[in-house]
Amino acid sequence: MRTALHILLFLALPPLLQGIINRVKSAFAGRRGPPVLQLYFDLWKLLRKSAVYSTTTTWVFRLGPPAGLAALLMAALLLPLGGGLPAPVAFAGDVVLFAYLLGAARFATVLAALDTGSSFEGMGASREVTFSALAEPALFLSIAALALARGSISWTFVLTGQMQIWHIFGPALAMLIGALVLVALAENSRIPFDDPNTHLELTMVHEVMVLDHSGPDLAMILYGASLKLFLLGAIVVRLAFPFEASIPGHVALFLAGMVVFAIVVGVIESTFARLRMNHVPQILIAAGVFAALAVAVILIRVSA
Amino acid sequence: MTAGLDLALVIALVLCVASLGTSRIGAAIRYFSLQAAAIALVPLLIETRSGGIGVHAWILFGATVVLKVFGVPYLLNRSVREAAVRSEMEPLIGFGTSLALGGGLVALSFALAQKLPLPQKPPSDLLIPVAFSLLMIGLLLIVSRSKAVTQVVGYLVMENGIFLFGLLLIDVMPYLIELGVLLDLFVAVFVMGIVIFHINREFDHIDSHQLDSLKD
Amino acid sequence: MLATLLLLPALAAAGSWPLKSDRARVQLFRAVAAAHLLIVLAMWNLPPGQLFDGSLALDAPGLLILTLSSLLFAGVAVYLGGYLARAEQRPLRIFVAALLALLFAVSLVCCCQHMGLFWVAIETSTLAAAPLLFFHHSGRALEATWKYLIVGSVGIALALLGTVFLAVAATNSAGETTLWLSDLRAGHALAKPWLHASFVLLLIGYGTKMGLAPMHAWKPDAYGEAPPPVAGLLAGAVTSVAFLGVLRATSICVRAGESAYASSLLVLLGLVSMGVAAVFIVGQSDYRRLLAYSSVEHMGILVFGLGFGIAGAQGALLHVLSNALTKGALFLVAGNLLQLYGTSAMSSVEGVLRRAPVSGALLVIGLFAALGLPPFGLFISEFTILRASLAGGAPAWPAALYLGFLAVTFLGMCAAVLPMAQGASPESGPAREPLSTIVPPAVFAAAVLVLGVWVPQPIAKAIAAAARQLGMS
Repeated sequence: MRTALHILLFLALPPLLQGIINRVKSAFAGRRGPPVLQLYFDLWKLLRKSAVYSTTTTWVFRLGPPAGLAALLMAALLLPLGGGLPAPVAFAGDVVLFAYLLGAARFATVLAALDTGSSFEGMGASREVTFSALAEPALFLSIAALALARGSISWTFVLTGQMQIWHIFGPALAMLIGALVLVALAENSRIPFDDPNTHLELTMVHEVMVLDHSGPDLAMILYGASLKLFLLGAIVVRLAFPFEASIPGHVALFLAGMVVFAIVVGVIESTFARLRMNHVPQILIAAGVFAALAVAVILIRVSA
Repeated sequence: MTAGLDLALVIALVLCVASLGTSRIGAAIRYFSLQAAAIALVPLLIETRSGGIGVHAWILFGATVVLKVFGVPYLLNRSVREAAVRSEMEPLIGFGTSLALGGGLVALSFALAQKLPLPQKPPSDLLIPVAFSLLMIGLLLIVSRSKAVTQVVGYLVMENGIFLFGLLLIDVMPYLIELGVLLDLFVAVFVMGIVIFHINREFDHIDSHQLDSLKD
Repeated sequence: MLATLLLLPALAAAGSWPLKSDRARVQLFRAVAAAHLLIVLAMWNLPPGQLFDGSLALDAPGLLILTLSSLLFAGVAVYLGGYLARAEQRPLRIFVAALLALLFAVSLVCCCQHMGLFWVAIETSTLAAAPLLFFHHSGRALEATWKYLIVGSVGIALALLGTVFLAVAATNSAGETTLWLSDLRAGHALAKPWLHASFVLLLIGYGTKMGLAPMHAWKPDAYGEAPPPVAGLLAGAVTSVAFLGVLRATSICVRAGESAYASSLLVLLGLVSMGVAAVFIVGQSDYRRLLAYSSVEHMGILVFGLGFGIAGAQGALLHVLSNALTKGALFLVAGNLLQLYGTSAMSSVEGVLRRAPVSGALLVIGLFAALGLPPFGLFISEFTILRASLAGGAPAWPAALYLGFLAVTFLGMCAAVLPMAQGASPESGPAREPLSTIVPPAVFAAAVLVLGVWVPQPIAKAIAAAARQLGMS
């Protein structure tokens, strides 16, 4: 029963997140913006269309979107949403599996992009992979910091806890959340790393990788992207508000947290400008350094 | 109040690392100003742990705020405005590498701090590591940056680290000495600002790496 | 009396600012320097008293260095009359105020008995000297000032860290600590690792102010571009005052029983400085930079001497006196040369003995004095240090290196300076040499000569008392 609720939440909610972000951005621009449920309508429309495949592609291209989506769905199974909603799959070391499932999803998309043989997709793929490579140290150092703090390398233990955790690890936790938000923005190709609304091919990073997909494939890609943002957002929200409550209250609080996260992402997207490409490594290294600082501070705290 | 003290120290450290990665001189000066504000709070937070806050700590706080949070950035911003320089050039080792190196230095200072046998327990476990980190990152800034104003900021960050270290002795050092140190620092920045102004007027740049006509 | 000594230059520095004419400023400086010298000489006979609970008091080494600084300032005050008359006219307001501030700072350093206050005073002297360095506002002077400021500030910051470490080393189990020299020397138990770290930092920090290698990078530029009287003050007074810092740090170390550790560092740093100086003196083309490297060498000798116990310290203290006066004389003569020939390049200067006989004679005398030839004071001090380095069956290699570097420096400087003095003069006839530009260097040279032949009793007693501070009792 609780497993079903967990799976339902993760399956149904991600497109809503995207809608909220778009609404916030439109509000900043002074427009009303698309309806919050717009991504659902887009997905439904795409599913009913038929896909068009380029003659230069092979089975790799067709395999890409489903493989990526499958990896992301498996990763979703690993995240708990608190004491009331444990992760359907949990074991020691599942933090590492989570990180690599995200990597596998990216790998599948990149392979599909390279398979088209077009230089634009290749360019986008290489940029995306570079940014992810730079974001990895930050992600792994954050995981290491959390593992040190909670004494376990399973998401189940890392993401459960009371608000007291802020008291013990306050500043380190703040740095960790900062680093993870930056990682989330980088992995999902949001501003300040990439502009999801750009239509200039030379400035695209993620968009250009998925340029050739259509129909159900595109639906899977879009849904996968929103699921990835939801996953990383869930980690950030659970770290920031580590409360425990009964199931209905718990779910409500979690949803509220996710809405806040979406609003924050929307605000960041509206107020910051996109970084020059050669400044992106700097900010990702900075995220890595902050995560390393958090590790150091937590180490001192734990060994004291 | 360990949590508050830790928070202030971590904020100072984060700002210090951030100033390693920024190429805008105005941003570096602002980070220093905020860092000085965080460090000014430290004597107050240390004292609230042991009892009431003494007059000594309030004087130190006030002097630090006036001189380091407002006075020094004002002087530096004036120099920057007159020199009309906005951004730093790519340093010898690159911004990304500077950041990574800064992270390494912070790790080194945490490791060093574990080894030091202190005569008595410091007010916070983070005090010594953060002091060392500020010292080393300040030195890194002086050595790797080319614009004179950024070198002055590096020197000030170094002095912040030494000041933090000196706070270990807050009960003992006569506060006249510490005020003397602060005043000396302020006058030093004043003199450096004037020299930078003259350098800019004479050479039309404030790039210290181009000052290399004197050599043997 | 101590209060007057310190207040006089400080108030004069403030008071010179609103004065209307530059002539009045220079007169004020002269009056203050003369009064300062009189007070200091009086202090040899009368007890100088203490201030602020003993945080300001004069002990033997402080009195020695205060005296030599005061002499140098007085000499420069007289010299400025002739020098400024022939130099390019520039506003003197900042110059005189900075000179007076420097006098105040140097006097303050000599009186400090609290290591924290000592640091504040040395930093003040660094800052007071900076405006003097770029008096000429030329590009080269600015570059020299910037290097001086940055390198000096980093060094002084390290010295501050060393001072803090010293306080940590002196913390007893009750959590109390002290930075009073008397406490630190009186067998107040000092934690060894912190004491070691503190000594290294203090040596590096105050050594940067002295101009020891490898922290000497600012010295040739600063001394080469500053107005020569200012360079004379820096080379004579400011380096001696920084040496006082190293002396105090060493005495604390020795009293805590760590004299072997301190000695090894001091000897090493001394030899490195002498070696670097020797290398750069050979083939030097600018006579002011040559003097700067000679200063590096002599700083190396000072620190080398400190590493050999009480006997070495006696040599070092005599050396401080003689070296400061010699450098003062040489830089003032260099000022005369600069004004006569208009350039610092040695290739353009020749026939000084014909063109300006008194300055030429003083140049040669100063050269011999700086090289440690008898009968000048530097010979006695260098010989004393040599003897101390070989005493008690110590290994001979430091002494051998010491002599080797001295020999190389001797050859280099002779080869550089003697051709300047000899030869035919490019212009005909002796030039006019105002009295004010030749009397001070002559007096300094004479004093060095006297010190070499016969050390006056009060000075000898003060040197012995100061050297005793470096012993265990």
